[in-house]
Amino acid sequence: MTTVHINARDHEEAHVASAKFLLPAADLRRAEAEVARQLAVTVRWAEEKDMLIGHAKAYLSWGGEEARMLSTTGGEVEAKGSALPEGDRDAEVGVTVIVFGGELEDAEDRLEGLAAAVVGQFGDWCVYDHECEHHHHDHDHHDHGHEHEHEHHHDHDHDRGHHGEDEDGTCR
Amino acid sequence: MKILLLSGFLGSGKTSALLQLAAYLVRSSQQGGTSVTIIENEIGEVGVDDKVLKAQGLQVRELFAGCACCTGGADLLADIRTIRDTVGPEWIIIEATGVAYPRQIKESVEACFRIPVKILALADAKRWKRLHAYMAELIEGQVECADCILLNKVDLVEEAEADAIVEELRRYNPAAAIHKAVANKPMDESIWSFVQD
Repeated sequence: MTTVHINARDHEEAHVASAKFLLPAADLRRAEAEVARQLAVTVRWAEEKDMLIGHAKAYLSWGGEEARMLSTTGGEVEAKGSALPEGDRDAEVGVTVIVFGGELEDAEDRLEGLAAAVVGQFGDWCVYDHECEHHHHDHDHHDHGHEHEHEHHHDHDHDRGHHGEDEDGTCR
Repeated sequence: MKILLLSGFLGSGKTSALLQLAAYLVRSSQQGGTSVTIIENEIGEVGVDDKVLKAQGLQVRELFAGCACCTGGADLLADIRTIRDTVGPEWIIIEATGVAYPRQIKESVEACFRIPVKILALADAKRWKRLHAYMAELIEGQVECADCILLNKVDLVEEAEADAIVEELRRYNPAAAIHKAVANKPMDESIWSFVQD
């Protein structure tokens, strides 16, 4: 099980969700024979038409300063096999998804799907930990300090009932 | 100390261009590896671009306090002051967030430090039409005050389309040097001549 810490907030018209999580060395080793020499991580986060209103970027890092940006061409995020760490090192993945239009939840949903797909590539599944901030246009901001956890399997089987909406429906 | 601001929409190729520009500035400086410090302003809570730049041996400071053109403006000025006083690089390069208006950043930095700020803007040829149709004010605002504009990803569009976008860019900013580019491949160093003018 991988815990994915998600931070979500609005910036002007943009809805921004970020997450950081570790891919355990054991999962990487288990997956190595199947994927390490081919495409290690190839996950679709959006359809091509969505590129109009959004962007995703991600990195994979291990061993301190070694890091590689994952290609985000089109609607896919991918890393070649050579990006994978060698030996028994965990890999850290950082992801940011930015969506224009819609709601903040749309950015969070895409981020969850992306994180689940990355983790799913290595035979694991996710638990999410949400932190939601709202930045207002007058540039004051209030941290609602709202956190919750829910389980989310990498088959993208969303269950809205676990997302813990606030009473005003603005922050999950 | 000289200051360069990198602007452009999300995914336009700012970090790819920055990797080549920073390498050029380091090579052309007597100061070597300490000649360039990068301030990486990211809109997300998790830094992505700074990891990649640090992996290339560049000096990077992260600025997550918000977009430097609005909420993070004061922090940006404080960061520049700290870098000037502690590192003293020849160049500070500010990579703005993909949703920043560079004019606001340029004006506040120039007012505070009395140093002219040059702007390099990236425009995404592949998504130009769609982005411009959806958010014209931001897209035009990111190129209108640039000293140099790189029309990036021209390998993904027809030449005629790239030419049409160049003409459009020229209408928004007649004074800028405009180059077609593919920033994820080695680019001709003559592109960077604007920084020395």
